[in-house]
This record gives sequence, structure tokens and C-alpha cells, in this order.
Amino acid sequence: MKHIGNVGLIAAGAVVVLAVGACGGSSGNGSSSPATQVGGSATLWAEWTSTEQQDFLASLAPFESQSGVTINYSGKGNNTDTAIASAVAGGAPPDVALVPDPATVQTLASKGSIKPLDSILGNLTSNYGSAWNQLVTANGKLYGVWFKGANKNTIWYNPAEFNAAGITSPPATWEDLIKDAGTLKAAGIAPFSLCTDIGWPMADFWQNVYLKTAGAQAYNALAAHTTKWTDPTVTTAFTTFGQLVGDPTNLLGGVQGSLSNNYPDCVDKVFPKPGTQPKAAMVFEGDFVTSEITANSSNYTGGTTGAGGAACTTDASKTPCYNFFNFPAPAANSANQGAVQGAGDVAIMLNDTPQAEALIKYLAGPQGASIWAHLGGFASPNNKVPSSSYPDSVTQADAKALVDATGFVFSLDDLQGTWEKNMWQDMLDFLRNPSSTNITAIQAKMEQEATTGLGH
Amino acid sequence: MSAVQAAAQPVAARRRSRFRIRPAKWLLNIVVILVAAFWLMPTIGLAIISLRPESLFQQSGWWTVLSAPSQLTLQNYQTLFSQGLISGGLLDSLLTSAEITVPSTLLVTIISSLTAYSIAFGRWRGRTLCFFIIIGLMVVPVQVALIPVVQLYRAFGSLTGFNPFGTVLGVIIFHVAFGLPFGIFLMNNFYGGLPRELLEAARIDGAGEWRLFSRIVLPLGLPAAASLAIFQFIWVWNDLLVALVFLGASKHFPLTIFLFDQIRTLAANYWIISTGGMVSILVPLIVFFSFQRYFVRGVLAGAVK
Amino acid sequence: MIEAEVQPKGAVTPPAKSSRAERSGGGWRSHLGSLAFLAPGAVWLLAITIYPLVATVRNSLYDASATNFVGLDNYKAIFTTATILTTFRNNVIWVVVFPFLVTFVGLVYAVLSERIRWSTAFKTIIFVPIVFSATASALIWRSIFDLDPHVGVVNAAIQTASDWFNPPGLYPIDTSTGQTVAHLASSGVAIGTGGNLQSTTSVSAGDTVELGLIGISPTTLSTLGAQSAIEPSSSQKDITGLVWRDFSPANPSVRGVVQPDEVGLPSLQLSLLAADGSTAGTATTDAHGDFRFSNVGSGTFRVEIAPHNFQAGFTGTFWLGTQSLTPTSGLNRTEQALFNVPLVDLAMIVAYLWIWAGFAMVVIGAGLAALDRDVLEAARIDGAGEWATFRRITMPMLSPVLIVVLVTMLINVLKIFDIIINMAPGSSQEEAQTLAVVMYNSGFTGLGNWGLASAIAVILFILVVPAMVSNLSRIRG
Repeated sequence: MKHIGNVGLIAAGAVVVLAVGACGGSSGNGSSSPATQVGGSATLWAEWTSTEQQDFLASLAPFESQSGVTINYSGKGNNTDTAIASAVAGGAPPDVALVPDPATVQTLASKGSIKPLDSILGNLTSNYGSAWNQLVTANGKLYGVWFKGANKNTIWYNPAEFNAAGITSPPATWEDLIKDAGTLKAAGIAPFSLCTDIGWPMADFWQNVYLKTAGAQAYNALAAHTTKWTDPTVTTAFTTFGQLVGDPTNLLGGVQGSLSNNYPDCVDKVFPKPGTQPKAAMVFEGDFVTSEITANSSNYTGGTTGAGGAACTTDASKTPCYNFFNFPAPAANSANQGAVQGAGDVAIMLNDTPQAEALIKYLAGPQGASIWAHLGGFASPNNKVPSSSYPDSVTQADAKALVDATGFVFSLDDLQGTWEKNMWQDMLDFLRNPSSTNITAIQAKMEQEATTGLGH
Repeated sequence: MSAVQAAAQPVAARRRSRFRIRPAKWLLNIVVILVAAFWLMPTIGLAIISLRPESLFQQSGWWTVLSAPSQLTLQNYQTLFSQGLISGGLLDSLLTSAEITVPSTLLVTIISSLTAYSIAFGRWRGRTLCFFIIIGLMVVPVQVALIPVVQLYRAFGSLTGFNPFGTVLGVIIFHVAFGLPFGIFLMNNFYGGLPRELLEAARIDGAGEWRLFSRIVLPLGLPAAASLAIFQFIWVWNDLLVALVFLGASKHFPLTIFLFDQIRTLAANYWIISTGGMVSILVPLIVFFSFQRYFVRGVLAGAVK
Repeated sequence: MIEAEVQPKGAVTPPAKSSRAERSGGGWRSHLGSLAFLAPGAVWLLAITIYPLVATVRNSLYDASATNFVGLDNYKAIFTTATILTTFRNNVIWVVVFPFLVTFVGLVYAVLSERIRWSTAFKTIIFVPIVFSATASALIWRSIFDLDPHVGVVNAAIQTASDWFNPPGLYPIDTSTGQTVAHLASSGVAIGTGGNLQSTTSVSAGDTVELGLIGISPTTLSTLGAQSAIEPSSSQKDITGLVWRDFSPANPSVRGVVQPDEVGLPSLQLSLLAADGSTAGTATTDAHGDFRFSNVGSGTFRVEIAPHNFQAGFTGTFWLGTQSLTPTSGLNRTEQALFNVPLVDLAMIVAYLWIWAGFAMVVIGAGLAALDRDVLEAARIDGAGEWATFRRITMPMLSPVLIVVLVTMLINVLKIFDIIINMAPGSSQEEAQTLAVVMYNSGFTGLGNWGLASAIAVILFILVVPAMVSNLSRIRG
């Protein structure tokens, strides 16, 4: 991200220093043995810079002191994949790297540029669900260790609004979601603040619908374009999506209001700053939404009760709350309920040195992840990281969804290369006209764009 | 004066006065006042937004400040300025804008004067052709040069180790090139109006070209050079596209990119946008009001940029 | 100050041809000095403008990384991409509308300012926006055109006017979501003949009636001081009843029964309709939602909720959106791409006019000031009216100046970029983009397709060539 609030940067730095002091000792009851003294140094690359870099290094501090290994870290930002590819080609790769997508892992594994980790990790591999290990397995060998995960399967809601509408528990199925939208409308509350922007939030939303209706396997096939965009599963996803966004009474401001809803303004409509009332009850986007919410006011508490156990209020100057529920699958597709769409960073080993092996084992354990979890803005799919490491019930639930994922897929639009922007526009096209004739036209258009853009 | 003429005069005068009575002066003034108010409103609106706390932005329009003047505060400016020279911050962008604009302006002014001198007073063949090429170049859009110049910079980089792409120098070089045609045109026009006898006399006295230029032509040409400088200054200060191409991914960028980023960034807050906007327009405003006469001259002299 | 002392347009002088004697003296060596002066400028221009122009033409025939020859593929791609039609259409809209609009406005302002005493101040005010960057102006106007009437000046003004002529009711429906009065009916009430909400059953004296509504927001309820709904008690000669919010947070799916946590709807204006449709009486609900029509006499009636209760307020027009000014909704995709005139284009033209009208005004004003007054005086003495003088004499004399303004603005608008990427919101970008925007996006964002971007740059260049030729011929002649 090019712009992180600069004031926030300074503040975050201060927080990290204090927090590390506060929870430096809180390591989990990990099933990883503390690293034995190894000494030497290791080069480590990852995408994190500025605040995230500080947090990451804080989580590595125990490793450095326990093993005596000096870590030379370099943050590569958005160019991590390119940097690693050129380093490998140039013959001087780092010892360990964390990459943000599994496709890179697969490519490097097939070229033999990274080392299999089964023998090094031993039974540490059980720290991750099969859905996760599968993503970084090639030819039956495990090549990566997941360190950080992000959940994009989250629909955020304002608990005070749900209470005012008498909705006591968030919807468990897609049908429940539509029903709850109706209940909210009867209560006079706009159900959804729909983020449109240049279309990427709509694409994220649609991808989740596709994942929950067609399943993780079909999702990956579509992402790779082995399934065509004219496939009936795509039509089903559009029609299902249309049940919600095709009815303008479900959207704050109707279609025109939604089209003017940029991110993060759409979040502010549900979780406003003090002085404004919330205008809608729900907003969909990934878990990075929480940073926008807490920036609006420090009064916001994660969960279904406000600060100090008080009831959640719509008034942001009192005790407002924020919470999420997992993106619901239609009742008929309940098998897909555990499928999660998101992002993550996986550690790979490029040079087999004792230092690198020790580092990989540490990253596979819960200790490092727990430290960062404590600092906030972090979730790990490692099932040995204790819930108590997370600062509130929201992040706990967020992490749990990652850990329990029965299938994990990466953001489809990010895998579409040059036609990604066209895909976003097509989603806006759908919002403007959700009729079935337009769906057919859009599907044909997307198929053509995919073929041109992906070259197959 | 004959009787007929004498008689004709009052008739003509009456005719004149009849046609002089138009929609009443007061109506005209009202219309003009309304237009002026409408024209001022956007800028005043921006100023007021920047002087109100962020939390009020969504709640009520800036025009409500008229009934609640206590809303006004300098908080936004204080916050942004107290960040100091953080790379990518407001002050840093302000500095980068200056780093780009001042050298560009100086270079364009000086080189235009030199080149125009050569075309206006030189005696070599092909001057007129050059002049017409300059006229033609004045309307060439920057888009045709962007990609090749990036390629050029890269080639230069692999040859010498210094790649101007991503540096302020790279932007300056580009801006100067696209400021030269208009600059040469302007200066040449002005020089064309200078009395040739002055130069002839100096030449006969044995003065060389450089002396002619620096002692006679340049000082005489100062008003035109000032026009050019101010016009160029404002043009480069306000540029977005060239800066985006060359400095878009750099750590330091000018104010226009700062604003562009804020409008597009995922954490947009209107207090930053409005405050940054005010700072960005304040500099050209000051330049404009200080050098009004020269600026307008510059605009009028070559209404083809 | 803005009464400029400037050489009028015609005085551009190509360099005087040197005399034979001057030229023949000494060959290159004697010109060394002045050629040396030429050198920096010439080298600069050759390297950064002239050579790149040629290079761009070459690049347009190569692929995305500018390494493999692809011939006319890029041009083919341009003219077959669906979005290109939109792009060209936008450029056409800008080129056809803006130069004439800005020249006209500039002319009007120039003429106006001649006739008032405080013309300097006026001219300064109109002219100043030109020194702002298009980026700064875009962000100013983006907030002016904001959808929310609490933020955007335009929508706020419309809302004020709309509220004055058509004051919204106490329970306004939200037309932006397509909500209608029918959506509010929950129990005991439905849209009747005449299109208003009426009780579903007929009642007569001594009856009670309960009308349940949903879709009333909690904010409205607290503003109006709604109290808990009290079931009406019947009264012999009267018709009594209750209008209440048929929604219970405790039992959200139960409708039609007055629950303990449900509230009445206060201040609703009701009419009593006789069987023949005439109004037999009016009533207003109290804080508990109860109402009474007294002494109704015989006959059956229906209770009607007056429509003005639900009169919608103005919620804002999305000026920066893609709704088309032309009626193109029935057309297919390609036709729409060609004939849509998105609202956002209009908004951006207004913003751009704000920036450049001052320029037109100053140039035309200078032209006006330079007009030969004697000719105008002579016309007046001959008895010509103001308007005739203006049309037949002033305008033709001004036409060179007007053409200069037109051509300058035309060239300016062909390359328009800053105002579009900053002012059009994300969802409108594709519908609003112009050639320069597409060139930047394709060349410098994402993976960067240099071949395509170069081809677009060539097209842009070709489009300015007529203006270039016109300038050259004007100066030559």
C-alpha cells in the first residue's frame, strides 16, 4: 500500500514497542520445541514494510535470542514475487522467504528452487489443516509453512442495528441472509451498504457467492479458466448474488447510491464516526475493514457487547460495536460453508542451511504468530496458536475461520492478470442491470475477456 | 454649422441615448455579482472544508459555517504540517514540487532566450524553417514522448549507470523540453519587436554574440522572460501526468500526485484532501497575484499552449 | 492588470529574412556564435521531443514490451475493443461541446465586464481558477457534486428548493431505493382505489380499526416521539383506531398483532372516506398512534392515510454517475457506447468551464479592447442598434480572436486527462475515460502495454495535426 497514515505510522511504532514489552513473554503452549543454539545468520525476505515489518521482526525476536541466529530481513512490498524470481535466476536467493501466493510456491517447487520441508518439520505439519498444506504440496511433498492468513469471507454488521431489528443471531445460510435483509427493511433499516468503487469489492463479493455455491474445487477451476465463464455455475452465482443486490430496496441509496459508494466510505456508513448515525446494517469486505472501523473511533468494540459490557449503541460516541459473520452458503450447498476465500503468506526455504531449517521450524510453531496476533492486524491458520493471543472476540473468530477452513482459495480476481480490471467493470455492469438477459451477455463478455487476457 | 446640421445633432444625440438605454444598470450588476459569487464559491468552499474538523464533513455542508462560525479551526493544517518532512507527506510533496518547478522554469527561460536570440538575430540559413518547426511542436501532446523518453532514460542508465527515471531530474528534463517551444515562440516574438539598429550599432562597435545577448537583448527582454517564467512555473507546478509517469512509484513526489493519491487511496479522508488542495493552490495564487501583469501577458501572447 | 497590454494576435512575426549581404558573410564560422546559442535548445528538443515522436510511431508497431514487431495489430486492437467506442465518444463530446461553450461564456463575460465599473475585480475572480491545477479543481468540484445533500452544494441547493415547493412528509419514503408507499403496508391496510393506503375493511360508527405499517426507521420514530401503541377502545358514534409500527424486535417475524414492544405512529394525517369516495372527516394520530373520527353518522367508511405523510424528500442526484442524458436505455451495448451522454461528462465540463472561462474572457476581452472604436462609432452614428452593431460588426472583427480561443481550447480538450481521473469516481471511470486516460492506463498501470499506448499516442497526435496546420498557416499568412 502506498499510503499508510503517516501519523498512524509513528503511533503504531510506539504501540509495537510497548506491546512487545507487554506480551513478550506470552508464548503459546506450542508443540514446537524452543530452537537450540545454532548461531550464524540467515537472509529472510517478505512483503512487509513499515509497521508490519516492525511487528514481524518483533515476532522473530525470541527466535533470534534462543537460537543465536541473526536475521537479515528485507521487505519487498508488492514486488516480492518478482524479486524472488530474479534472485533465483541470478543465483543469489535469500535463505527463507515468505510469499503471498501459493502459485509462486508451486512454480518454484516444480523448478526445484525450493526445498521440501516434510523431514525438517516432522509432526509440525499437523499444526495446519489439510486445506492449507494441500495448497503448498507438490508431487506429494510439502514445500511451505503458512505464517499469516487473511479472511475475506467476512460480512461485517453493526450489532446495535441487528438488535433494533430483533435479529438475535447472524444468518447461517444465504436464505437466512435474505430473510434478515427483509427483517431489517421492515424495521426501517437499510440492510446493505454496498461498496462498488471501480468494482473490486463487487468482484470480491461475487467470488464469495461462487465459492459458497460451487465449492472450492470449481472455484479454482474457474480461476485457472479450465471452466469457462459461460458455465452454468457462473450463472447460478450471478442469480444468487442478484437475490441480494438485484433488489434495490436492499441497498443503501439504491443502485445510484451504491455506485457512488467508494471504499472506505461504504464502511463508514455502517460504522460511522461519532456524530453521525449509521445508515445501513451490513457491509461486506475482508478483515482489513477493522482498521477503518477502529480509526473512525476508539469507542468501537469487537463483539456483541460494547465497552465495559454495556449494550451496543448506534451512537458512535457511546459504546458502539462491530462484529462479523462468516459468508453464508445457501442451505443446499452447506458443504461449502467451511470454504474460505482469503489471502496469506507462506514461508519457503530456498537454501538448506541449519539456520534456515531452524527458522522454518520456528515459523511453523505458534510462538512467533502469537506475538504478532497480540499486536493486532494479524491472523494465523496455525491451529496451535491459542485464541487468547488475539486481542478480542472478533479476531479470535476470524482466526478460527482460517484454522477450521475445509477449503482455502485465493482471491480469484487477483489471478486474472490483465483482464482483472475488465472483470471489475463487468460486476458493476451487473449491478446496473441484474436481469437474466444481461447476465447471459455479461458471461459471454467475460469469457471473451478471459480468453484474450489469459491467453487460453 | 448649418441649420440642418444643427438640427441633425440633437436627433442623433436622441437616437444615441435611446439605444443606450439597455437593461438597467442595476440588473446587469446583479447578474455579474451572481456570476462572481458562483465563481468564488468553489474555492471558498474548499477553504472552509479545510478549516472544519473532519467529523463535521459528512454531517453538514460547509455552508453551515455561516451560522456557526465557531466550527472553524486550524487543526487540519497543524496536523499535516507537524508531520514534518515524512516522505510522501504534505510538506515533502510541497518541497518536491518546488524542486521540480524552479529549475524547470529557470532552464526554460534561459534556454528559450538563447534559442530565440539565435533565431531572431542570427543570420544562418534555415532559421525560418526552425521557427515553423517550433510552432508545430507547440501543440504536440506530451503523450507522444512519454514512452520513448522512459526508454531513453533506461538506455542512458545502462550506459552510464545513472537512470533519470524515477528522479526529479528526469521530470525536469522532460518538462523543459515541452516548455521550450512555447518559450522560444514567446521570446522570439518579443525579440522581433526590438530595434535592430541597437544591435547593429553594438556589432559595429565590435561586440561579440555573447555580449550582445547578455548586455543588450537579455535585459531588454526581461518583461517577456518574466511572463514566460511565471507561465511556465504555474504550468509545471500543476502538472500531473508527467509526474505520474516518472515519479509515480517514487518515495518523493509533487503535490499533484499527493492529491491524486489521497483521492484514490484506501483511507481517503477529506480533511487531508481539502487541506492539501488549499496548500497546492496557495503557491500559484501567490505567484499569480504578485506577478499578475506578467502572467496575463504570457497567457495572451501565445494562446496555443 | 488584466486589461492586458498585449500585442494583438496578428503581430506574430516570423524571423525577418536576412539580407543577401548578411547571409553571404563568412559561411559557418561567422555563424558559430549564434549557432552555439541554438545548440542547447536544439539538442534538447531533438532528444526529448522530435526523436521520441518518431520512436512512438515505431513503438506503435511493436508489442507490449516494444521488442517484437506486430505491424498494425495494436491499431486493430484499439478499434475492436468495446471500450474504445466509449472513449472516442467521450472525446467527441468534449471536443464538440467544450470549446464552443467556453468561447461563448468567455465572450459573454468579456462583454459584461466592459460595462461595469468594477471590471478588474470581476475579471480577476473569473480568471483565478486557471492557476489551480486541474487536480485541485477536480477535487473541489467532486465535493460540490457529491451525492449526499449534506456534502454536495448542488444537491443541497436542489434539496432546499425541493423541500420548499414539495415539503417532505413526516414519514418520507426513500425513492432512491425504489421504495413505494405500497412497501409500507403490513396489516389492515393496502393500496386502495385512488392509489393511497386505505384500511382493507370498511368500518362504520362504533367500530375500531388497526392499521399496521412497516419500513419506518427508528430514527423517525424517536424524532417524532413515538410512544408504545395502545389498542383503541370503541366509542359508539365514533370510529376509533390505531396506526402503529407493526414491527416487534422481540418477535420480528410476527405481523398483524399489536405486541407490547411495538409503538404507535404519531402525527399521521388521516381522512375518512365515505362509500362514494368523498371525505367525511379528518383526524391526526396522537403519540400512541391512536385516532378518532367523531360523530361519523351512518354509512360505511374507509380510513385513508393521506399521501402527503409519505411525500419523499430529495435524496440527491448522482451527478458524477453514468446515467445518460440521452434516452438510450433500449439500445444494445454498442449503440449505447456510441450514444450515451453520461451525467459525469456534464459535471466535468462544468468544472473545466470554471477553470478556463477566465482564459477565454481575457483573450476575447483583449480582442474587444483592441477593436477599432471609430468603426463602431460610425455605425452608431448611422443609427445601427446595439445588437445589430454587435452582430454585424463586432463579431466579425472579433472572429480571429474567437478562432484562436476555439482552437486553443480544442487542442487542450483533446488531451484532457487530469480532470477525468480525479473527478470521475471509481464506478464511472470506464464510462468517462478519454484517449489520454486510456493511454496512461494501458501504458503505465498494470503490466504496461507500450505498443498499445504508443498507438493511442499516435492517434492523439494525428488528431492535433489539423490544429497544428491551422496555426502554421495563420502565422505564415
